[in-house]
Amino acid sequence: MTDERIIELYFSRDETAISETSLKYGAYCFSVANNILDNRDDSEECVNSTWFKAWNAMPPTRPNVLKLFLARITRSLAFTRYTERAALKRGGGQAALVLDELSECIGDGDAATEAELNELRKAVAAFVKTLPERERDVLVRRCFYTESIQSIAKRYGISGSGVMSALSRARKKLREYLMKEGFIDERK
Amino acid sequence: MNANDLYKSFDAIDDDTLLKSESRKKGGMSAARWISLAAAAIILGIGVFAIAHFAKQPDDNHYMLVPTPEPTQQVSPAPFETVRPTQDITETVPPTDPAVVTMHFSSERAALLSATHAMIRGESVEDIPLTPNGSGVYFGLDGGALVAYAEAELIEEPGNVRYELSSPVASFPYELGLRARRSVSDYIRRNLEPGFSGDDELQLFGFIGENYIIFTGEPFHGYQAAAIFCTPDGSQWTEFGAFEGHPAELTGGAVLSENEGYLCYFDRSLMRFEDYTPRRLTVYRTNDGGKTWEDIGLTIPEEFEGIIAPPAAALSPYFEGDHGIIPVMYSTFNSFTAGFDSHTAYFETNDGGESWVFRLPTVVSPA
Repeated sequence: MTDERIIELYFSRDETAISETSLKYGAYCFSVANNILDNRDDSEECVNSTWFKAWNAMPPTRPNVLKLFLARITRSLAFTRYTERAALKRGGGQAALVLDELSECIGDGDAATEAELNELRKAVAAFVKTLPERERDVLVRRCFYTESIQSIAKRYGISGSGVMSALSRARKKLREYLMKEGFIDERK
Repeated sequence: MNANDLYKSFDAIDDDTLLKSESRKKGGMSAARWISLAAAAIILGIGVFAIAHFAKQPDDNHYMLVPTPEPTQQVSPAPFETVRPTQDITETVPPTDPAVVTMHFSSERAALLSATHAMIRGESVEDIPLTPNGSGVYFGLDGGALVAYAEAELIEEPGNVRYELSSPVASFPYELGLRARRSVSDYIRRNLEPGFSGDDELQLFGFIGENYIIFTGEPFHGYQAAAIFCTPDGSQWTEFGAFEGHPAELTGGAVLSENEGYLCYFDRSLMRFEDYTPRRLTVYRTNDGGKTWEDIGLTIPEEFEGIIAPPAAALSPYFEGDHGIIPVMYSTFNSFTAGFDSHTAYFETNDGGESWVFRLPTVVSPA
């Protein structure tokens, strides 16, 4: 079934929308969640919650790309679950590695306010567009999809060390960008 | 602000950027440059080479193989029959340290050789789960020798990605390994990364035969360059031909004589195009010592249209006189498991490679 047709099912409040979404994007959303959580049960729970959130969001929201709309919901749910687990010292999966890498870029301050987070979102979205294609793709796979180094290497047909060096360059640029934009104190 | 905030912020990336990251990219370089890249080593290995020393000749491309009574390194010969056929990625080993991820690779060379020998004799073969480029070996420069291994462990830890190799199957002169590294690195500099300086860390893969080795490095965006060395009379290793401009990943190859050789490629990037046909295989042949290469145009017959699913790939050719075969690994969709099953078939020639006929072997279930 096409995405347009599935979205129409949501808008007409037809519950087959959920089964069709699950059929088409269940595995995709599961991989998004499982990259972060590395736990089958938790990931399945996030995917089920994704359908519920999507049902509540459409209408009025009409996604441009249904798959990415769902991925963002799943990613957010999975990361919330991840932080809850981390508080219980049950962290793991790729998310721990990605967060460790990102801490090089921004340090370890207090959590951002909602307003600060919105500004940071805009900055990250703008920054990503400044990167060369290869670094941009690798950074997106690592930091949005939380994919492993091997998975990224396999996707693009490059070596694991090639992925690591592209990520390292991208993170260095991100830190410089955030510093220039005033998100990081240069003295730190 | 902290890393959690920064991680959350990546969800603001626009749809277009996210979608672009889903497909295989070729970076900012031209297709022609990627085409000529990094390397895959293919081989029909038979038995174990005697360990030998050799003295470098004045000509940088030539080495003199000098057998010595006492090898510099005793490599336990592991007959290829004992290497268990497996998928190229057999498992992800749960790490004890959560920051370390390990992947295990196992060569399918033994399974391919076994199937190749059976097919050329018209015997039945096991329906083995080959993968397009899983039949190569992994090279290490250890203890004064270039050693080919059947198993490799990719270990990823923060700031460090490395291979640990095991199960040696053959050994070659150390200097040949250095020469191959240089040759593959030069190829990368010429065609991919002008500033590449990782010669000493370059992990070599490849395919080995009775009198040749096809070396390669890791694929760059799905493209690999080959550096082929052969020793027609067992005394000297010479570089065979020039391989600029060939597409995609190497999945096999063979050097049959000082003039004749084959290289088989598989272009994963084509799989994302709707008009991609897995029936078409990419096999190049040279009759002038590798100076020029011609696509011999192998295509699986039309009756397989709709049955064959990607990936399908030609593997290392094998000849007995004018009678030769090119094994073909092909896939079919399994609606029960919603996955893909791989199978083995072959193209056969009885006129030294001038014409080829597609054959399905009699298949028996693996024991």
